[in-house]
Amino acid sequence: MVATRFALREIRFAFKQFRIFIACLFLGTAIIAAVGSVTTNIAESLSRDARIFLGGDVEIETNQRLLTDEEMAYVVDTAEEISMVSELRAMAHTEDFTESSLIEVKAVDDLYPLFGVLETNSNLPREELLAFKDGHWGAVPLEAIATRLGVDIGDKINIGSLVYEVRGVTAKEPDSSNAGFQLAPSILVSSNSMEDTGLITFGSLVEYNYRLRLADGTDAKLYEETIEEAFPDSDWRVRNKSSGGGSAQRFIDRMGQFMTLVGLTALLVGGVGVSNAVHGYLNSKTNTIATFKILGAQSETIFKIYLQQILIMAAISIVLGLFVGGALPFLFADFLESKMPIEISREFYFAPLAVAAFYSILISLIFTLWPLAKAKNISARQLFRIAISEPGENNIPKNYLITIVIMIVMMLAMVFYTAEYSELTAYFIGGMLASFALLFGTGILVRKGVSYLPRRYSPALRIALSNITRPGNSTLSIILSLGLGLILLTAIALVEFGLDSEIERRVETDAPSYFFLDIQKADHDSFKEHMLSQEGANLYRTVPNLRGRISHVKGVPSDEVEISPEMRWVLRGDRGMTFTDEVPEDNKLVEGDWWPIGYDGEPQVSLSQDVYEALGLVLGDKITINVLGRSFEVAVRSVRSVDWGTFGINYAMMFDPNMLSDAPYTYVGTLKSTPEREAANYQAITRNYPNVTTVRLKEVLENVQVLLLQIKGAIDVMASITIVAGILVLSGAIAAGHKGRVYDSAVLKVVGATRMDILKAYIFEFIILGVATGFVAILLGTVAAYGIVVGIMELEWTFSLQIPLITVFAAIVMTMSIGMFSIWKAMSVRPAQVLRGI
Amino acid sequence: MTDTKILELKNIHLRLKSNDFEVKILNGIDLKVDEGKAVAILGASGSGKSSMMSVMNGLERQTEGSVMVAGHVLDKMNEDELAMFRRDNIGIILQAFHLIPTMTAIENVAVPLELAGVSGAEEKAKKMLIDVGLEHRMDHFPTQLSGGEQQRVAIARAMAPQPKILFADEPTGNLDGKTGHNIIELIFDLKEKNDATLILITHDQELAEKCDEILHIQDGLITNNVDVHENEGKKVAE
Repeated sequence: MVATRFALREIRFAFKQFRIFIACLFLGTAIIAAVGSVTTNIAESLSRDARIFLGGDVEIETNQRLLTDEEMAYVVDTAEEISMVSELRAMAHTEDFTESSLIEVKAVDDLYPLFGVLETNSNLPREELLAFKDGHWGAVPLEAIATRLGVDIGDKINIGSLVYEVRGVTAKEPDSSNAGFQLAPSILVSSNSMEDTGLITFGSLVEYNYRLRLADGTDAKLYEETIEEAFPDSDWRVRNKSSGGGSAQRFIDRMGQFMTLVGLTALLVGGVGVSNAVHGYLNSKTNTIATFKILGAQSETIFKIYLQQILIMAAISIVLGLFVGGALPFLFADFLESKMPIEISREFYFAPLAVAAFYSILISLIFTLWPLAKAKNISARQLFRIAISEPGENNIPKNYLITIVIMIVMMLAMVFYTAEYSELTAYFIGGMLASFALLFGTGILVRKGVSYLPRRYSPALRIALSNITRPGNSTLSIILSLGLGLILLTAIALVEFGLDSEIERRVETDAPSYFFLDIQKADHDSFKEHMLSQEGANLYRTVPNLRGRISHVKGVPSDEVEISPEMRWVLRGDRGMTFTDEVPEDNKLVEGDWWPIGYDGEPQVSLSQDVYEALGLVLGDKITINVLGRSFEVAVRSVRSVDWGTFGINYAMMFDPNMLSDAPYTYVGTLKSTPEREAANYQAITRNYPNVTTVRLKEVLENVQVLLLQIKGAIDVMASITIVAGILVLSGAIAAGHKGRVYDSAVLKVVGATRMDILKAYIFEFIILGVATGFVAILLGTVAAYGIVVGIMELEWTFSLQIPLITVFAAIVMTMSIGMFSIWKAMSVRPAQVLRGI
Repeated sequence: MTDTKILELKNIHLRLKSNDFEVKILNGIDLKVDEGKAVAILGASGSGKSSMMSVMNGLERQTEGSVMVAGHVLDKMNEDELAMFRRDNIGIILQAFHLIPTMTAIENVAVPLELAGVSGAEEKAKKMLIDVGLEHRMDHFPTQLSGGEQQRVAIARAMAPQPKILFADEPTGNLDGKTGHNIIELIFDLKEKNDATLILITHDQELAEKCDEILHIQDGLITNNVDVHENEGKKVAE
C-alpha cells in the first residue's frame, strides 16, 4: 500500500523518461495484436460465410467422372438441393484468334450460386447471363481474362469448338476462395453448353463439384461422416462448411504465423529499448532510492515502488497497443477486401489481444527485472558517494534469475503452443535468439577491442573511441537495436534475391517456353509433327498423364496416415501421375532399380524421394492407388531424387506401363522456342489446336510473380516495422548519452577543440558502431538466408554483394542521422551555458 | 538529565577498499553518548567525522568493533534490518537536503511516517511543517523551494517520526549565514521539544559550543572530548 502510494507520487514526473519505453512496448503490442486481430477476423469471416465460400453446406468433388447412379441416388435422397459445377483448364481465344489465354472454365447450372450472390458489371438477370440466346451461349469472364483478351460485353470468344458471347465481367464470384491458388483466372459458362465445346472427352481433366444444400438444422460434419461411411471405397473428396476455409485459411494461417514471429522480433528489439529506459530511469533515481533507504525503506519496498511504476507504464503502452492493434481490422478491412474475395468482419476479438498482452507483459518484465533487482540493492551510502564495493553486493539474487528464465520459458511455450508449423517456428526463434546472443557478444567485443586500440593518431578518433568504451556508453544498445532489424532485412533481401535469380536462371537455361495439357491420344502424333515443324521450336517432349489418388499406405486409409503438414498434399485429393519404361533424364535413382522394358509383373511404382520419406516407406511396401474409380495395389520398386525447381515435367509417382497403359489418359508436353519466335509460335499452335491447353511459361511466371510480390510486400512491411522499433531504441540510446555529449563538448571547447574536431569525433563514433553492426548483420543475415535458400527451399545459393553493402551503408546512415540531432546540439552549445549549470 | 547511554562505539575501525588500495578511515574509536545530550563533532575535511556518523546510524558497516544505538547492536544487522532500525529510532539531516524531487513538501515529510505504518501520516506531516514554519509551502515541490526552505522540510522529515537520536551532517553547509543560524535554532528547538539526542557534524566552533559535548576528530581518532558545560578538556585514552 505504502509502495503504491509512493509509486503514484513518483510517476507524476516519470512520463518524459518513459517515452521510449512506451513507444517500444506500444509498437510491439500493436503489431502482434494487429496481426492476430486481422487473421482472426479473416478466419471468423471465412467460418461465418463458410457455406458461401464452399458453395454449399457440403461439397462432393470427383475427378474425371460423374457420381455413380447409386451415389447420386443417395445424395438426391438426403440433400434438399444439388448444384453442380464442373471445372477444367482450357484456352480462350478472341474471335479472330489473335489473342489467347489460359483459363479455368467453370461450367455452372441454373442453381449456381447455391449460396451468396454472383456480382457482375452487367444489368442482365442471372438466368440470362449464361443462357443460349441469339445463337450463342453466354460467358462471364473475370476481369483479368477480359483485359488480357481485350474483350467486353457483346464481344465473342472461342472456347473449344464453341463461340461464346461475353455477357458481363465478374466483379465477385462468391465461391472463388474455394479454388485456392489458380494459375488461370476463371470464366463462367453454362454447364449445358459444355458438351458442344468438345472439351470433355474421355480422359479430360475435369473436376466435378456437387454442392449440396442440406435441410435446416442438419449437421454438415455429421452428413460428411455418414456419406463417407456409406461409400467407404469411393474416390470422391467430401468437404463440409465447418472444415474451414480450405487453402485460403491455410494461407492466412501461415502468413499470420510468420508475421507474428516478425512482430515478436520487433517486440524483442523493443525489449532492449524497454531495458535501456528502465536502466536510465533507475539510474536517475539513485539518490531518491538512497534517501528512501535512509528514511527506513526496505529493499522489497523499493522494488515494489519501481516495479509498480514500470507496470503502470507497461499497462498504458499495452492498452494503447491493444487498442490500435485491435482497431486495425476496422481500418484495413476495405483494403484487404479488395485483395481477397471475402467480406471481412470488423470486430474486436479477445483471444488475439490477450496473446499480444501476454507477450508484451512478459517482455516488459523480462527486460526490467534485472535493472530492478539491481536498483533495490542500492545502498543508502550512495548519498555520500563513498566509492567502495562490498563483495556480492551487486549480485542479482538467484530467485530473480530463475523468475526471468521461467518467463522466457513461458513465452516460448506460448509461441510454440500457438504455432502450427513448429519446425519453422523453432528455426525462427532459434535464429532470433542466436542473433541476439551474437549481437550482445559483438557489443562486448567492440567495447573490449576498442579499449585496446592505440589512441595517439587524432584527438577526434581518441574521443570517438572513448565514447564507445566509457562508463554508461550506449554501444551495446546501439548494436542490439539496429542489429536485429538489419539481420532480418539482409536475410529477407538475400532470400528474395536468391529466389528471383533462381527463377531467372531456370528460365534462361532449361525452361520450356510452353506447356501443353490435354493432348488427346488420337492427336498425339499429328500434334508432335506440327510442333517440330514450327520455326525455332525444339526440345519437344510429351508424357502420358493421368490423375489418381493414394487411398491407402501399407493398408492404412490415407486420412489416417500420419504425415508432416508440409507433405500432406501427397494424400490430399488427386495428383498427376504417369507411366514410363525409362528413368526420366533429369531424375536420379537413389534406391532400388527400374523395371525392365516390357515388364508385365505385379504393379509397381517409383516414388520421388520426398514422398517416399514422408510416407515412411521401404522398398517393397505397398500403396493403394485409385485411378478413375479403379483401385490398384502397387509395390514401391525404386526411389528417385527429383528437382522440383525445374520447369520440366516431373511426377512424384511413376508407374510401370503395364499397369496403366490401358487406362484412359492424355498427354502433357513441353516445347522450347527461340525468344523471337515465341509469340508467333504460340499463336500458330493455339489457332491449329484450340482444344489443347497451351500455357506460356511467361504467363505463369507473371501470375506467380504477382502473388510473390504481394507476399514480399507483406513481409517487407513487417521487417520494416522491426527497423522502426530498432530506430526507436536507437534514438533512446543516443538520447540517454546526450547530456554527457553536451558536457563533453563544452569541456572540449574550453580546452580549445573546434566544432569540426567535435563533429569528427562523433562521426567516427557512429561509423565504427554502424560498420560493426552492419558486418554482424551481413554475417548472420547471410547465414540465415543460406539456411533458408539451401536448406529449406533447396535452391542453389546465389550471393549479391550489393545487398550487404547496402546493409552496412544503411546502418551507418541510420546511426548518423539519429545521432545528428544530439551531435548538433552538442556542437552548438556555449560552454559557459553548460558549465554554469554544473 | 539521565546518564543512560543511548549510543556506544567500541574500538571502531573502518577500512575501505578501492581497487588495490586500502584506506584507513577510522582507527579505533571508543565513544559513549548519554541520552538527551547534544554532541558536536569537529574536524578537518577527510578526518573521518562523516564516516563515524555513518557507522553510528547504520549507513556504513565498521570493519572492526561494535556499535550499540538506542539499545540495538547494529553489528550483525543486514541492510533491511538497518533500514527498519533507522525508521524506528533515528532521524538524519544532510548537508545537501536530499528531498525526493518528485514529491511535494508534505509528501516528503510523510514518507518516514508512511514507511513506519503510522496512521494519519499526512496530518502529522502537516503539523511538522507548521512547526518548521512552512505552512504556506506544503504543496510545493523541492525545486520550488529555497535552500533554507528545503532544509526545513528535511528537518521536518527527520523529526516527524519523533526519533530518539537526530544525526545532522553539516546541516547549514549549503546555506547563507542568516538562514543557517535560523536552521540551527530550529534543530535545537525541536531536539528539546522531543527530548532527543543530537549528533551534529560541523566546522563551526561557535555552533559546536551550543552542544553539551564537543568531539575533535583527526586521522580517524577522537583526539579531544570536551564537556562544554563543565568547561574542562581531557585527552582521550588511545
